Amino acid sequence: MTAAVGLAVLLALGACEKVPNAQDDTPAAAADRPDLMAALGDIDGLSTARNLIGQAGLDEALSGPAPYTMFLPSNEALKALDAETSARLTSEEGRPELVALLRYHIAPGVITRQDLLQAIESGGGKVDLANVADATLSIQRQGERIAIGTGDQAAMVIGNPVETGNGVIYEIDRLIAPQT
Amino acid sequence: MRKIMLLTASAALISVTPALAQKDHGNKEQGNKDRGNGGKADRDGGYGGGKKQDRRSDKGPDRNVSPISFGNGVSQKAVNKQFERAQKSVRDDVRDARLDVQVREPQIIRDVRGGGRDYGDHDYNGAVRNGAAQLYEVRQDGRLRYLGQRDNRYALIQGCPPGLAQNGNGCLPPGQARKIARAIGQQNQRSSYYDYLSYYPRFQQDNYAYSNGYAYRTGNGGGVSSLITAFLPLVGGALFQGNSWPQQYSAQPVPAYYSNYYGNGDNNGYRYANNTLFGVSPQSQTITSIAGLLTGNDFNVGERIPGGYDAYNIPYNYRDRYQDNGQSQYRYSDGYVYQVDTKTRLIQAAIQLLT
Repeated sequence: MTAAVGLAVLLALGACEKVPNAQDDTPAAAADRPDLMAALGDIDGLSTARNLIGQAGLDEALSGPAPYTMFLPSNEALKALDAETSARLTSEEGRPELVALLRYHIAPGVITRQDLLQAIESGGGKVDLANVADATLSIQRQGERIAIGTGDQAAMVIGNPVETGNGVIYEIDRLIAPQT
Repeated sequence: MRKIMLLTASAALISVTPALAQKDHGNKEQGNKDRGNGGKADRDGGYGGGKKQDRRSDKGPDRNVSPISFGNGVSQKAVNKQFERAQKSVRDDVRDARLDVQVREPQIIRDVRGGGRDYGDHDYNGAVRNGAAQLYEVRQDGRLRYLGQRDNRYALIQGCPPGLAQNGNGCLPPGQARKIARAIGQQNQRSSYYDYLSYYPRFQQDNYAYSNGYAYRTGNGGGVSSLITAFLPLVGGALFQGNSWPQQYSAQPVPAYYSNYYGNGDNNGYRYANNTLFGVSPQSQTITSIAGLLTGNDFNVGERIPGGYDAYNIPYNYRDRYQDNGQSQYRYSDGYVYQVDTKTRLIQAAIQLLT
């Protein structure tokens, strides 16, 4: 499958899976939507991630005017963490690590699905995104899916992203593994 | 009117230090006038560290130094005892005076040296030898320039963490020794797959252990017996809501643009450390919020755009105005939009998003 055909398929898939806030709005109208934290409260599959953001004290930053694109692990993905890691991350002692983990999953600015797909297309099948953890996320196409990372450790995007007033929320099926 | 600043790559940098900030309030106000709320940062500024110095200064008059007398009926033993008490009192005063000078010394040095690119009592990369750390510089256009964050000495506070005993060239914390040693041991042993903290670039090149909200840098290979040589307050740990802003870090609020952009324009003070913008109460010096998450990526006009910005990421409100075209692309980072030459990838302009 050529890259162009692949992009067309991905865009078509996006068009088929209509979501209430799909990219029909003008940019100005999109900015009037609820912010990231408010929108997150309405996404059942990301309730654990939302709680973790609150625990990390990042909710104010993510509900302010600055824009962010978040790739958040689903409830199931976070449930799959081993008990020791979960306990550590949710303890006060482990909070710096929780903040670091969440920052790894957040990129600056508003990157819609269309922006991402076009960048992947322009980049010959992959694109690197800076995150707010002083690192970059490698985003690529794996078949008809969007993958973050490479190989078996890659996290896959689930469904369509939710566009909010100050950013975009992508649900992913596992934690993004830091690249060494 | 939206400000588009075309800058030369060789733009001089204005160094920000607490002492200079206090001294140069008038000049800063001038420099910030055209951004609207220039005065706010200045009103909030200059409060760090002062209280402690005042408290120390106040100690002097309160201390009782008894005069030595040799009156009738007073034994030699009593005189000696009186003399010893007076000696101790003087020693205490000398010690307090010395502490006072130690605290003030960095400020004095900076005042004498004047402005310019003065790192004062810090290494070039912001590591603290004594006094307040310089964690960033402010460019002529008002943007933050982040100092060597990948350098493992950046923002480190040399010496003993609070409350831990000094032992030779490092610290072997008596009360917490086992806990920190255990943390070091776990750090070395466990798989780091989910240990995101240790994946920060700076932490990959040195021996760190994490405990009590700090990263402790150890010497001698990071073993259990290693002494702590320096420590770093961590975001989410020591740098978290309800904790005091570290005295060793600059008490100077960030430029007004950042306060306004990330902070909804309220009157709180905002400070920067470790790629993070914090709300800090000007009155209590207590951290009130994590207000912004920054990349710390260095955007220099005339140079290539940093990696990681190939995707269009402009905020919704500005998409109509800043659309990619054949000549230029636009990318957002840390409160600014950057205009980039499509072919050369050289940064052409830095654009403020607030009027």
